[in-house]
Amino acid sequence: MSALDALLAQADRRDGYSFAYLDEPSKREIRRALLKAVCVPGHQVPFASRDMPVARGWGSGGLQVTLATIVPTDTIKVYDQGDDDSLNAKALRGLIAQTTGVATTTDARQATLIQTRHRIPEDPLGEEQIMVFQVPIADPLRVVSARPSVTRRMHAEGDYEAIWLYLYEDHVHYGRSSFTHSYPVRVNGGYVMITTPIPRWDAPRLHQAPFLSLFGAGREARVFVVPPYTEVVPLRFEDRAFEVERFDAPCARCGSNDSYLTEEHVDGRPALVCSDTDWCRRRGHGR
Amino acid sequence: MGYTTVKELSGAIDAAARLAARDTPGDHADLVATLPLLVDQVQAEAGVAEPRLAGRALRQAHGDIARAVSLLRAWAATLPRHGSHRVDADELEVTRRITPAFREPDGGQYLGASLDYATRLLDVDDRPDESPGSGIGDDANGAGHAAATPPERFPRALAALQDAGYVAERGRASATDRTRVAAEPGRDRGALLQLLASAETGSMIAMAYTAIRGYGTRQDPTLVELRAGSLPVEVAHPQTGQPVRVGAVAATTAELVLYRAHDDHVDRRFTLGVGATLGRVERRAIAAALLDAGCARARMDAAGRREPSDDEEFLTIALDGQEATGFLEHLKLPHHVTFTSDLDRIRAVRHAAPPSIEETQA
Repeated sequence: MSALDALLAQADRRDGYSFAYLDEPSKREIRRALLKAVCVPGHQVPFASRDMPVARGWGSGGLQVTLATIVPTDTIKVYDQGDDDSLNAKALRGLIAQTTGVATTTDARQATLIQTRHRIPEDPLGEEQIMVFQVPIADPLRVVSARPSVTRRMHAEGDYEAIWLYLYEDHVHYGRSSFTHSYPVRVNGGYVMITTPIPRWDAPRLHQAPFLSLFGAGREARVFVVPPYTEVVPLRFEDRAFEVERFDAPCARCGSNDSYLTEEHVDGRPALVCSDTDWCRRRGHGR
Repeated sequence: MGYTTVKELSGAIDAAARLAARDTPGDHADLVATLPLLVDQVQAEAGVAEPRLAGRALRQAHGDIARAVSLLRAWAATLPRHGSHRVDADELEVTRRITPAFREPDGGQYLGASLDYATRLLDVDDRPDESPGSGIGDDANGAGHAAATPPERFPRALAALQDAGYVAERGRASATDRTRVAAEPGRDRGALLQLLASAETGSMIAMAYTAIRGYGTRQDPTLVELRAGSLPVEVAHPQTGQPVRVGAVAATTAELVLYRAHDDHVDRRFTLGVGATLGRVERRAIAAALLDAGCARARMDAAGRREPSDDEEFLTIALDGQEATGFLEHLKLPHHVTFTSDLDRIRAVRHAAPPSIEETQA
């Protein structure tokens, strides 16, 4: 079946909306912004963010990027906090599946397109896979100025003095960086980019990653990109460490000691368990 | 099993929506007829002039204005655009015109439909509506203008001030559509005016109020003219290219000037602000005009400190109700991954000893 036949076959069950919901001119504009962002890694590219059938701040940017990128042969995974059953992820996945007819999966290894909030899958990903990140705050310099006009100039001039000073003050006061998630990174030796809100644990996994990472901020109307095999380096002083989150115990379900854990109650007691629920399940917690 | 996160285990999304749903009798046309200003507010904040759909959206949203606006905007976003056509504000077919700056302007004032002067006594009588001043569209003509229909055109009250050279010129704003092109209201007045026309009502009133309360220090505003009526909608004829009228939308416009001569202010003329809104929620047009004027005035005082109400960049961030409510309410989404990261840092910064490089780069 040709791609056109596949599209026509799906037309009936999409309630009068275009394939992937967005009209074609909108998709084209978002793709152009994404292509520009691929060419200038880490640079925040403005686009005319559409009003989507989800609230702004609830994944509208990631959703637009996914819908502008998706093709009928894709298999999509949408998850939130590492959890495929999280309600908002479920709603977004439903909308994407309903308007495209593409297959869905919870297994990161099977997915060609992965829309995420807050995590990168624990599974290693390959060149044929695309990550789409839902971005709440697009600018790593927001911590030093709330004004886009100010931070835009800093980015344009490569003037990252303010955020280095912020980091320096952290070390003076605390002996370490106070950045939690969303750690600022330097991309391809150029722009400083926010690793929107993935934990520090995941930030180094963007470095020289074989997969394409697309970041969509709907409310802030920006996209940015880390192309495959790109240098992504967390900001740090040479003689000071970059620290990822530390966990005092392995996952209470699968026993993993090399995955990102969050606290929950297991058998009535607080315990640390994997945030990536599908990965954890496959590792054999088996319940 | 223990709590993990809000999960879709067995149709939870649908079940929650069913629980929230109430039996709401009546149809959408009722809302348009009985709560016209509410329907107007939804249309204005959505930037979509379609009363029946606005009523439908309000009902579907259980009366939540922000959600109704979201429904309407998302619906409109999927529609193709058939070009734009500039309509002069003078083409407003006026049903109400007041000129607070002038007692008896050229063309006169025309009170039209308004509850402004009706006493605010709660009507607890269930009998059919006979109480005075409780319905828009009652006999409410201005003093001295008993005629049932207003004149077709009123001269602009501002014109006399402009002719006398009292008003600083404002450039013609671009017809920018922020929903279709990436625009910066801080640099593009057309984008700012569009933002103000569809701003969240409460936020815009708050900003405008802080300006006249004294936080915008350059202000002594006078509303020159407020007009309500209907604006013709025109499109270019596909063959001739000539404008053809295809309909009309209810709209309200406000023109306002600021006076201040102080601190060697370079321009000793009035600063003009214009505001417009779909529908008849008049405070929206007045607030928009005040903010437009404040921004213009502040731009002239390059060195002056900007207050939120006359700072386009701040207004751009604060006034879109969909952005504000969406991001505020996203706090309801699970955040345990990022919170774990926060907890890790809280524990770390409470310890004095810095980490060694070796222990963290494994």
